[in-house]
Amino acid sequence: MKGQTSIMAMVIAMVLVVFIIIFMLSSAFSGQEDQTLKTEFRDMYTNNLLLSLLATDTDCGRFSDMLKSEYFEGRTCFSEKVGAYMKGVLNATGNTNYAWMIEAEPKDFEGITKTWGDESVTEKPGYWDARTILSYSGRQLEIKLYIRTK
Amino acid sequence: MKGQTAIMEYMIFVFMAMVIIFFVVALIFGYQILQGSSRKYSAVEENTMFALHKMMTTPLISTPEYQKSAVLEDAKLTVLTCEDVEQLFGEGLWVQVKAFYEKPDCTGIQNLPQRLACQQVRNDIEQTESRECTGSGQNDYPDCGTWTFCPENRKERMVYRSLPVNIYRKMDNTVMLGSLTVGVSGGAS
Repeated sequence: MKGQTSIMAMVIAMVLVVFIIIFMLSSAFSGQEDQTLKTEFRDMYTNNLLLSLLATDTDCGRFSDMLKSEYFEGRTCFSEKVGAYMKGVLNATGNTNYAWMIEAEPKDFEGITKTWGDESVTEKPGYWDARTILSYSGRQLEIKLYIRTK
Repeated sequence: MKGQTAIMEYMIFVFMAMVIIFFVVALIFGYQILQGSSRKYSAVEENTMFALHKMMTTPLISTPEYQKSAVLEDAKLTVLTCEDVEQLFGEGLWVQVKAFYEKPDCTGIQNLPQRLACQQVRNDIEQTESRECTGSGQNDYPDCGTWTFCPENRKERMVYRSLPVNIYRKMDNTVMLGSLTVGVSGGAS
């Protein structure tokens, strides 16, 4: 009798272990798929935001030209307008809780790095970014956009 | 008596074991059903991403001169219909393109009449942004800023995704900043 009870207990334990292993394996794989989709969308969003912003015309000129003239010539149109446009497009796309930072760094010449927006965005991990290059009189400026949830 | 006690113990043990197995199996099958819903939601998300990507690059609504970013052409958006969208990208889609108009910042204005005038200008611009572009009367450039295709499906849950895009205004050769939002039906409400 005791022997039968022990065998039954072992069989039940084995069945439970098999089910738990199946359960954990299926959880692990489905989590990965969701993460890939989220990352893909975030990359697309950030890339589109940077390129669309730079291609936008305003009464002060195109954003890409305003950024270059601010960096190289000291004009302030870019600083005056970028905040309102970024806020407007983030709101329009339902992302009111995003913080952003734009950085302009010299790529092939010596110069300073200028930033606009919230400088704390890159202080902790968990932000995502997009990059592009702007040319001005033979010099290249690397423009980076960083975004994170607040 | 001892034999009866042993049988009772055995029966209680078997009953408890069956209850435990039943609960574990029910938990796992319940989780699998939830996983199935989650996989369906992931498939809908993939469809939404696909629709977004195709819309940004199709020459039927985008302008080929701007290759690097997603630039939609306002004249093409105005003539596009829900039937066109369904034929190109599939049924069950809801699409909206909105242009962003720069608005004055009224928060720093102390003088009340000036602040009210500023607020009125903001309200007028917001109305323009929300007005549907149908190509006739006031619903035409530059007094409109929204293009909506196909009604939203309120019976089924929709998955929405929104991306920043540019909108090329052909009449004065300018590029505006805007948003492209796609909604795809997915799952029961």
